[in-house]
Amino acid sequence: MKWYEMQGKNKDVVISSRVRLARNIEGYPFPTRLDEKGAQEIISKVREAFGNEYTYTDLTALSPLEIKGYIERQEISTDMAKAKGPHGLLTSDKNGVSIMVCEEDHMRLQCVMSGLALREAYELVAEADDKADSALDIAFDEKLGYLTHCPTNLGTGMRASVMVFLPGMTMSRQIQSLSSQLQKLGLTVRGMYGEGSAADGCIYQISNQVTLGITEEETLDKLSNIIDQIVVSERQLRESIIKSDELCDRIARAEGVFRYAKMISSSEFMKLYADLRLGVSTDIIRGISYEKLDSLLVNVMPANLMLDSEQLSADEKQRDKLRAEKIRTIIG
Amino acid sequence: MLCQRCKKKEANVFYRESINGKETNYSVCSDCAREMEEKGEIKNHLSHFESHPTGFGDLFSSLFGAVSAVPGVREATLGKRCSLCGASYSDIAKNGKTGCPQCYSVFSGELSGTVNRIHGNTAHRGRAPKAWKEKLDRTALLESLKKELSESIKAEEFEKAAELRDKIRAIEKSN
Ligand SMILES: [Zn+2]
Ligand SMILES: [Zn+2]
Repeated sequence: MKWYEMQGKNKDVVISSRVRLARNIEGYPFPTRLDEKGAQEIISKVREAFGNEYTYTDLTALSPLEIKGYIERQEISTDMAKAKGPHGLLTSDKNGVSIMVCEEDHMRLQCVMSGLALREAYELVAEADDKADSALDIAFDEKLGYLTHCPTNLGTGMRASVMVFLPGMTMSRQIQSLSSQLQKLGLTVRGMYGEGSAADGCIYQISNQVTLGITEEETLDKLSNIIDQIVVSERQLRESIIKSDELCDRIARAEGVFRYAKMISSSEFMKLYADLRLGVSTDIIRGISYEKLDSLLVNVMPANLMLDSEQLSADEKQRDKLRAEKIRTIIG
Repeated sequence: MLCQRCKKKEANVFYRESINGKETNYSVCSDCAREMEEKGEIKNHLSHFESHPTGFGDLFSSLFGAVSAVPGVREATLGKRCSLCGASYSDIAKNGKTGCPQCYSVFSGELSGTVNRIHGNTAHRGRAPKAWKEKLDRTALLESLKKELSESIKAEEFEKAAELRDKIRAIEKSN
């Protein structure tokens, strides 16, 4: 099952949690300096290490549209799509762990879970790391920790991030101050789904920045504690903003558009999505589950719309039609 | 290839020095490279290098003959390259990313400032590969046993000290 089909904790604020570990194999250049033969060797070593439980997808054999679909579902990074040499993705149906092979590092092990579940995601990804460790010679240094292509990942090589929905903080203009507070703690916040303009969709990603000198557990505790605090203050802010008649009207209109409109552009979707999600989380809208809200996020993106409907050459206008249909099917 | 200087460790640093067109090449281990830089046996002119943006082919041709001298270069120019991936420090500085795991030992001096700026002056804590975990645990165990040993000698508990000494020897032997 995918993260967006599962239930989770604190779903009114936390959309998903992700933990990623960067690992490399001793004796080989990093992918940017690796020749074709070396990259193939890495791929077969990693595949062997993870065994039959994992399925390998050769990403170089896929169409650009299919690759975009993987990115929209957050199964691979945009950097992975840019990789020049041989590269691919190992996935397991059993535990939701996947391994990007020959992205920036030889391996990027990751696990995404619904809601606030950093610990659980870490445990699953650590289990996969043990598997890699017992079969491969992992590059490590006593002082620098896991050796990675980019020095920013040295140490644990771990990036833990939480995707949060913060309409309360966004509307009361508190994101800026939250961002500078988090920075002091070695955490970063960035807007998602909004070409830099963070307000679109009110969705943000909060992750750790420091990876050296701090253990995995400490990093996860720090991030979890901060998220707990954010959840509390976001809920309080929502209590006060939903007293506004204008906002309640906007929320009801968003639901109306999603239920009845015939064409919805992706920018309109993103704006209305925030209102819809806020409506669901404050009980103004009933009957739409968080799982439905999460699968909306993934399934109405352009590439997934086209792949799903098998209309691979749909233009923007046709996509807007497909999107409106898809939204109706999902929210029911 | 063995280090030309200590003739003990594996060479993983290549230097090319060109003084007024006269080329000298060294293949040394990273410890010797650090020592040579510290003692000024070779000057560390990394930023001046890069007259030959090279890949592996060039690297080896410059190491084993067929070297083209750079005309007009009066100062000594040095090129240090990682023997595994062929990266020079300026390759790494260009995009802030290393070429391979070995780069971190080859360019440890040059990279320490960057690492400190990103993470602060600190050392790794947390997970480690199994092979390292055993080693790190053993180092920690040895340290505590040695401390106990010197305490028991001070307290004149010689029987206990002898036991501890045997334990330490056994651990060191198993290394
Ligand atoms: Zn040496
Ligand atoms: Zn290297």
